[in-house]
Amino acid sequence: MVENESMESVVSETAVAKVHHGRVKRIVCQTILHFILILTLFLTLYPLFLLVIKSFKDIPQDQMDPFSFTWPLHFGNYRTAWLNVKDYIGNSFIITIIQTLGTLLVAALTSFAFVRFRFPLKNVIFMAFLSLIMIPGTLTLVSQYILINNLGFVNQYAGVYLPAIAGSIPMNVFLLRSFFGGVNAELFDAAKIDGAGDLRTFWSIMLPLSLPIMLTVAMTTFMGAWNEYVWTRLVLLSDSKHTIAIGVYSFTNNYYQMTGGYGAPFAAYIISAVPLVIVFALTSKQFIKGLTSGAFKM
Amino acid sequence: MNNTTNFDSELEQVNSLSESRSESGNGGGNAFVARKKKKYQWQAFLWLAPAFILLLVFCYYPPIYSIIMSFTDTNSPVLGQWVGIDNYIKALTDMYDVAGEKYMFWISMKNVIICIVVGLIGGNALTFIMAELLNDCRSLRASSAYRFLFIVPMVVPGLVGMLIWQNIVFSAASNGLLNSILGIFGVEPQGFYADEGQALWSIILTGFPWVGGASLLIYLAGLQGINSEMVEAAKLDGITVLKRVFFIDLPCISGQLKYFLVTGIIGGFQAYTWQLIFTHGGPGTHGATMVPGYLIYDTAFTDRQYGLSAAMGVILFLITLALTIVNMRMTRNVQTEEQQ
Repeated sequence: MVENESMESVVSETAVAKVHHGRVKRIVCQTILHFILILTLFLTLYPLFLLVIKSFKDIPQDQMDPFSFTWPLHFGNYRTAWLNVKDYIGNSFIITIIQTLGTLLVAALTSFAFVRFRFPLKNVIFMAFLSLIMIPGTLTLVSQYILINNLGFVNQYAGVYLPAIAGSIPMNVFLLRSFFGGVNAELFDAAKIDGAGDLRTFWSIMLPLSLPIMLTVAMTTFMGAWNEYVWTRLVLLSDSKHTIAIGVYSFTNNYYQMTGGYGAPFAAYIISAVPLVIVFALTSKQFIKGLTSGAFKM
Repeated sequence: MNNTTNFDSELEQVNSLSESRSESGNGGGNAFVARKKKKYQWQAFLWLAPAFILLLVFCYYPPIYSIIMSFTDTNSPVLGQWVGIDNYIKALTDMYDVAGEKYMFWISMKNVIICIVVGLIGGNALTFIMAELLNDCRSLRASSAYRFLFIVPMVVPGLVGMLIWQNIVFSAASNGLLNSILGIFGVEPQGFYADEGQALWSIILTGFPWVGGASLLIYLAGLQGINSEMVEAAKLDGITVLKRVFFIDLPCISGQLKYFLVTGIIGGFQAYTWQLIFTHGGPGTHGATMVPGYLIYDTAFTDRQYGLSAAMGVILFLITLALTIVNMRMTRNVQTEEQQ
């Protein structure tokens, strides 16, 4: 202890002498830090900013002055875009909502079983689930399409969301299981004493306590389903069933071929992002809590 | 004890044996095991049933079907005549009639490995650096503002992000963003995605600086979870910032690092959306941007050589598997070394 104190006093004396130097150094370091962060943010966000301002331009404005606001703002772009993509929004919502709810339900039921129940071959089954993460989607692309075809799911929404729900099980069970496992076991014992069954325990204790990770999974599933393009385009053949991702892409090409501009497609991109913004705004707090809960590591 | 369903005494004996073995290791207060139970709870399989059915149909059956199909020769989506390993030999040595270029599979492998190496190292390094900076930022208000702004790009749909880079940033038109900047210095407009020599690197650089979204938050949470006493002690010992990063921060978040490496490698080998939508493996016929994922897609859905396509899928799976195992081993060794 004595040694420590004497050391501290030595340290503090030199510290007093160096305090000015230390503060300057700290200010310089913090300034550089802020500069790098702001520069990176600028590089990240500037393309999005350009997207927004270009969505208000007509073609001559874009030619003359491509990188700043130009007046008047052309809200007509948004009208054109809306007329061209509005039919697809409903389809996207149907698929996305079914896929999100289905993913949550199946992953939560499975994880609950792995955490709360004792059953034979538990670890073997868990590893069999996890190993699926390593099977590339490209390996199964063709055979999965054949399967969907044989099941009669081509041009059906089920052909989009059922494989997606199945494919999401391994990763989500991996995440949910570690979060569920962290919930205090005494709560479950207490519930059992109060006569609560498994379903009741699952619904009234596990799910509310796991809200952050559930919303994280919900949010990532929602975004993934809303953005899915490759598989959806393979399965859904008729235009009336297409999703907004497909609609936005084909609208971009058609509009460019007709007019030589991108104003309305850019407006369509922003329209297509609106649901994501709303969902994100509603869940962001829990979503971030789930992301930062420590489940995302191996 | 309300779960006493159908047991026979034989099973009970086995259970109590395994129970006594596993119980000793479980003294913690977590919910992983119902501690007082001595018997299997068979209702678990009821809870697992939806996952079992979905996985069997959509995740186990297709790869098995693919593996069988890779040994057959078929031009329609059914199993064809058994041809042994002909498809594998063809995929690895001779692809003239399919993709216009001999050894197209190897070209695609080279491309995807460049993409993964640069993307994984660059992306994770930059994200980690940003997380470090955010963690060291003394102004709380500024750091939470930065954090929020870094998450904003998450709400941009993936396809839209691609279209932004295709049509604005790396647009081949003279009023594209980068071409305008280059124009200031008198450089001719570049083709980027449309230029055979630049396309692959344009795809890799798409989305630069690759920061933003979930991975930054996960790294940041890992850094904030580091024991502050340890960091303080190291500071008193006069540790430099660089030493702290390499000897404290990186080992402490190796779990997160591993998560991103494993998912990054697996995801990276499968990526082909860009090729499917924009470049189709070109420009040109020499596979400038060809990746295995698109080659597999194209061989199946354009050339209708389903067996050959499946064979390439199996090869890709084996490579992914090997790399993932190596990755797991290597990172585990690093961790255990640090713990000792």
